[in-house]
Amino acid sequence: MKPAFERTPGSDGIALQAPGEAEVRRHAIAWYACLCSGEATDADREAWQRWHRAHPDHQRAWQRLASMQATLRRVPGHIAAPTLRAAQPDRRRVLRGLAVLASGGSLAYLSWQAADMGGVQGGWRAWLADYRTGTGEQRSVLLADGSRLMLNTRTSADVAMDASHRLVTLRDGEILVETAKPQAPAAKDARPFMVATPQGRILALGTRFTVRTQGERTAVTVLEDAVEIRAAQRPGQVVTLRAGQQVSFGSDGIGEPGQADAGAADWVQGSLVVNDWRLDEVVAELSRYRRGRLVCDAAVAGIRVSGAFPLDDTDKALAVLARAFPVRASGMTRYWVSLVPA
Amino acid sequence: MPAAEFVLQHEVQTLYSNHHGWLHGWLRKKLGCSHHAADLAHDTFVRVLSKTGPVAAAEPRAYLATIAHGLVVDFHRRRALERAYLETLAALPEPQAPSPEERALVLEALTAIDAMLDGMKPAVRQAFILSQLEGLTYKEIAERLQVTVRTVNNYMLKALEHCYLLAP
Repeated sequence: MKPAFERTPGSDGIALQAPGEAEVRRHAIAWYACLCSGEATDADREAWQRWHRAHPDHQRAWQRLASMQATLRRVPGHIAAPTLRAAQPDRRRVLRGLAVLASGGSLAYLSWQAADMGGVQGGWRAWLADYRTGTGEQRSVLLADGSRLMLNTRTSADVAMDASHRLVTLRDGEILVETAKPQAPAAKDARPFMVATPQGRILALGTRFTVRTQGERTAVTVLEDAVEIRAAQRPGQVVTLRAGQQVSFGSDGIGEPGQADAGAADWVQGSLVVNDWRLDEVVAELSRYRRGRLVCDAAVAGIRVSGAFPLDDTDKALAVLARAFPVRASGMTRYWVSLVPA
Repeated sequence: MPAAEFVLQHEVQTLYSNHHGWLHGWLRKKLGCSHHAADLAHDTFVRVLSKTGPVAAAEPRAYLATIAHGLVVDFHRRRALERAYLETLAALPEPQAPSPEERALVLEALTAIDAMLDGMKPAVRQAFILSQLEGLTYKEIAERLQVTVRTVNNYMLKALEHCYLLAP
């Protein structure tokens, strides 16, 4: 498939006539379109090279297309194509709606209404917000209703509020929720406050609790008051969890609650407090706060550990372990560390 | 400090002290989040400071809102891209979990590509993505989009001209 201008006789002479910018641009674009059509022949490529060599203006024009290509190559095609397609501007509103739709029927309805009203004040207010933390990062977010979310390391959560719901969707990681305390009993926010994870929903009954999702399971620990939990595939089973209790559940159902780990919310203060944990469990926990890989040699995995470790400085935590136990950190780089027998 | 610059800074300062609170509130209403509103309010004033012309607009709040609005649009756009990117990663046959740094780099690159594609007609954009990011031939694209190869070629010429004009 030759560029159209190549088919006109005498086109080789064009360069000599110092064609205008618009014409050079047209030729450069036609060549580029030709070369990536999938039908370009060796003869086409040779003809393109002749054109390219013929004039510095041609090279300058081609350079712009090369820089376009460089921009495109910054992301692998199999990532960029579906991402850009999904984020197509005119689909944005639809996608926003869909994200809400996935989280529940009546809520979705309200949100569509609000979206149609373009966020008009005084009526329903609806918005979606994403909050994220990176490795080792923690963040406190004050929500519009006065509730507070603490995001632990590697966490992402969406917040959706409207006239009848307060919903936090925990996509990954761990959060501590402190629901708003009413100034007066009459001022109590009547909208249910819910946390959703892939495994189920946690309804706050005015309270302080943590939710953590990891793989196929969600763990909930209640620090004050109580919550109600429903597993995604067994909405009929409602388990009430009270202060000092914790439970880990999958989407198929909720087991018996156990006693909460005393240090369950110490991450909020920046420390990991463990009592008689296996070393490999401690290492797995610390690795959540550390970039790169942190593993534990099987020979030392079973060592029982009690103590407190700083989460904002995992190097220091490892040094503490190395001082107290017969282990040492070994690694080629900071990003690949293994605890091995000392 | 040259006199003109001093006047400019002084103007921005006045603008800041008179309207920062209002702008923050305006952005919070748009974004539903006080933290992001604070960030964008800050960015708005950084933009104002980087302008060389005088900023004593007759309608200072309208002026600030215009700049802030552009930032809000960029913010939402970036959000939409980030979400789509994470969904793409999750949908890969072998889901990947790139580090936050990698994610930030890819997101920045995606933003640059997205800005380049911005303003293309949907069919043109689609053909361009299929060709340049997925490596399909025009014939394959024609089958996919149910158009002739000639139409695909025309789409590509339009898309390339669009990119060419934006390229540095």
